[in-house]
Amino acid sequence: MASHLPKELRKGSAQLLILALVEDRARHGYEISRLIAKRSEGALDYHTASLYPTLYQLEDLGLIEGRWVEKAGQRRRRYYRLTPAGRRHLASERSRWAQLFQALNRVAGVSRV
Amino acid sequence: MTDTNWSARLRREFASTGASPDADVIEELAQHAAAAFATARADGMPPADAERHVAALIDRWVADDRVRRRRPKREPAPAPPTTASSGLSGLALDLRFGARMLRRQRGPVGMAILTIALGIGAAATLASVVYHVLLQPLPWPDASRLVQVSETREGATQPWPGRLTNASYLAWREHAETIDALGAWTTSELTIRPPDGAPERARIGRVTASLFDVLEAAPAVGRLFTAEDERGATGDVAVLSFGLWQRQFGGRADVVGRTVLLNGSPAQIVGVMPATFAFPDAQTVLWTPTSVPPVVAPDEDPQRVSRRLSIFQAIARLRPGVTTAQASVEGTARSRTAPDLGAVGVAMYGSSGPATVIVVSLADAITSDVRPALLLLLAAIGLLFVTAVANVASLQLARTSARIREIAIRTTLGASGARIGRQLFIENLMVGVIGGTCGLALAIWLHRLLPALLPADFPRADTIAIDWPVVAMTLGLTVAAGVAFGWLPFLLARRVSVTAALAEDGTAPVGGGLRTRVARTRAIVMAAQVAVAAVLLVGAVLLSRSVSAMLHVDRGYEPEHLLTARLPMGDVSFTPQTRAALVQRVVERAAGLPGVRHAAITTGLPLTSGQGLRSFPLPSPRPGEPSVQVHTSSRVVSADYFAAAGVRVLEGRGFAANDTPDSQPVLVVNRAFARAYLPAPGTGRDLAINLHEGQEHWLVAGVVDDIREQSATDAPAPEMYECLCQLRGGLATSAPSLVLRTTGDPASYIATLQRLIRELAPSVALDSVMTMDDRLRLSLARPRLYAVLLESFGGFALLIAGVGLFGVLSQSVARRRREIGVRTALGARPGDVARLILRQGLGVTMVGLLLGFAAALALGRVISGFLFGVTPADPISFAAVAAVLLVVAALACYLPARRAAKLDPLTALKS
Repeated sequence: MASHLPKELRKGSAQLLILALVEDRARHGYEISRLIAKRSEGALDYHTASLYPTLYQLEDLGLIEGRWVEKAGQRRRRYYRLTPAGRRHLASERSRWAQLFQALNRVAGVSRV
Repeated sequence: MTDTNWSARLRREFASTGASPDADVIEELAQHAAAAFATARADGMPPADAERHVAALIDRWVADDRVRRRRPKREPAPAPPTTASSGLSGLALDLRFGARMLRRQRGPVGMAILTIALGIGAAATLASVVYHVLLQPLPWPDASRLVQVSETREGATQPWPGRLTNASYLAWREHAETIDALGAWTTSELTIRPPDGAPERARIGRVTASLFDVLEAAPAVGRLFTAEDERGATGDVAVLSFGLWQRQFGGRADVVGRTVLLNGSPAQIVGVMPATFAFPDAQTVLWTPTSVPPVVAPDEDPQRVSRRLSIFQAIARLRPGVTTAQASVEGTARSRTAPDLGAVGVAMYGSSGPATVIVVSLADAITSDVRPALLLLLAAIGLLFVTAVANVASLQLARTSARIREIAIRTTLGASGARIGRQLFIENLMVGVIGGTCGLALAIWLHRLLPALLPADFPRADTIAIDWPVVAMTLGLTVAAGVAFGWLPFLLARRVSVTAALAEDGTAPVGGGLRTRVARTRAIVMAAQVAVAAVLLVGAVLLSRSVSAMLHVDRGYEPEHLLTARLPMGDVSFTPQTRAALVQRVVERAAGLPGVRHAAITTGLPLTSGQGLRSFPLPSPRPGEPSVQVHTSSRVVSADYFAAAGVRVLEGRGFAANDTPDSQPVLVVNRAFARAYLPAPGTGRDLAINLHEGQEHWLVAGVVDDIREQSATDAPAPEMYECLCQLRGGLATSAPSLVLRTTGDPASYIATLQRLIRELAPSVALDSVMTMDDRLRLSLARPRLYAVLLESFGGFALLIAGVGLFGVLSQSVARRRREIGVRTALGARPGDVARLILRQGLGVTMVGLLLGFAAALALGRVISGFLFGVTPADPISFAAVAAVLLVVAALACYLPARRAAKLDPLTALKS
């Protein structure tokens, strides 16, 4: 069902997903792509290609912040975390989506994604 | 395919479209590509398919504008100040750069600041106590000329430290050349009642008129005492303290001429002292005049009358230019011209030897009790402060050595060694200043706590404050600390070998545990920290064990379940007879209270003052010696006292109900008395001594155990007890102590006891109501404070050592990654690697521990004066400290060792 979402909705949902994934802790790009694939059970796998463009765009908007982190015994990786602005944005987006789904539900009986 | 292959491929792909994205983007995407490829393979995809899968991903990345036009998002490294800058603008740059460098290393910098803050806060507080208590002049004009005058006798068995007799006082006062004035005083507790105010129990000073001259004190209102007042020619007069004037008389100007009741007897107020006047202490609220009586009055026949002895404290004002030694010589010479005190003098001192007058600076005399302890604590905190600074120096050294490559690069780019050194120095100084500011805040907070922490009788405690000298001292410590720990990294930076640093690539050579100069320096600092912690902890454990021993030592009585109180009957309405009758009634009624097993009174409760002294000759118990002069303290107790106080009767019996004023007068003596003056067994001996009119023969009814009356360190002294039940003349002592042995918690009987006294004697206000356990604890307030302080210093030192060890080992593991990788690759198991790190950490700890123990043993003499029941080389204390330190060291080693053991040899070697 998700793959049939209109384009604008899909773009917005990708941003929302990424913001939500880095909400609790910083994650690196590959981890984010794996989580998207896993949590949507493959339905959203196409995002992998546009993941980095989206990450860069979110960072340019000041919603997330990327940082190279070196951990013992590992190569350095770039970790992304939510900025305070991103946190505010995520909260308002969440309520917008909740309203949208409620409206859709009332009109067409569409259940949650 | 590795990251590197993917990077190259990505770079090619981007280049083919004319884009050259940021290196960070390439690195990030290459990592993703490699991971995606690995996952695809792991999912069972054939290599060619997996590669196609990833290639499709790359194509879409390359096609995306947002990736191609990506601007660099690296955190910019702070740009170091240029070499051209100098002078003030250079300093501003250095400060800005330093602030940025410090912000980038919050963990270690925070640790350093915390260590410095704690060290400076504690050191400044103790230094302030020492400064105000030991070094500041007393608050009197020309206070350096004020001296305490006291005396002793050659061969004295009972010294009276800080006390002077009337014989010496008068002899010196009449002909004084080295002193301007001599003044004397005693203090006592009594009930003060203004005509229309509430009675209050307070301390008063009975002073000679000359005392105010010695102090050069002037009244705020009215006048001070005159020679006429001393003689009593003007009736009873009093001078109020400022506080009492405000509290009881509302600060009214017409207070002079009004009367105040002292123990019920009126005295006319002649003056008020200024608010700043506190003598001998802040608790003294009123002064009455007293005169020093002559040993023999001019109109008396020295052959016939008994000599008058009075004993008191005295101070004098030295003439300008006179030393205490000169005054002492004059005082001694004068006192030897005084009339002989005869038997009473012998009773006092246990010797009839010639007197020696001791003159010491008043400031020294007041603080002599606390001086050794304060100096010991100051030394301890000095040691702790040095450790804290060394620890921070070691942390900063680690930060610097981690930056050797940066420093080397800057040197190659033309920065002079001095320039870089200055930069490092300023960074370290900033750490010092921030830490010092926090330390000052801590010191201010600790000063607020001091009144609650210090025992009530701590001399000059009220003068301790944060003032400019203390702030200046704190700043001095801060700068000293900053310079001290800025210096090591500075030296290091100046010696950086550019080629070596760049060639070494930031990693230590194999086996490089202690090979570099920095590592060696840090190991030495580390061992020293452990040593200091060991010294302080040994001291703390020894003091704590001493306090515990003093609390639990057998004092000859049983302090548990004992409620004690003073029964002040000093009011003029009492006579010895009415006192004895009231005491008898109180004891009988109290003994009948439910839960009270025994009730008794004594005129000399342990841990309080008030026992009498007696001296009389007895036939000697030793052959060849005709007689022996007895010197003994003497107490009057009620019949049940020994049972109530838990004093063991060793021989014969205690007092009994059938001892009455008309029966055979009996005495009970202690073991020390019996041993010194009576043939064994002492019980049953008839002593021909005239203690009271008409009672000339006393039978020793029993011998009781020795009591440590004041402190646990007292040597047993002869004591004798008379029974209240046999006194014909009533009770002369105005404030005997009540002792109740209870079944339950003695403190729960306080209200009952107070009710009983209100009922039996409404005019008597029960005083100093305390359990014996509390008295004991209070008497140990100072040793306990010293022990607690040394414990907290020791704990702090332990923390510093633990954190330091952790820091050193963590850094060592980080630097030896390559070595550890090689070892693991060559077959070392994780356990071997962990053991390597543990051995390094515990080795340093053992060296420090041994050094610390050697120092603690060498310092044993310093601390032995504070010890009781333990020796300075107490093996249990040393073992406990060793155990604690090794456990802390093992904890500090654990994380670095585990990290080393978990190191993957491949990654370690590749990085």
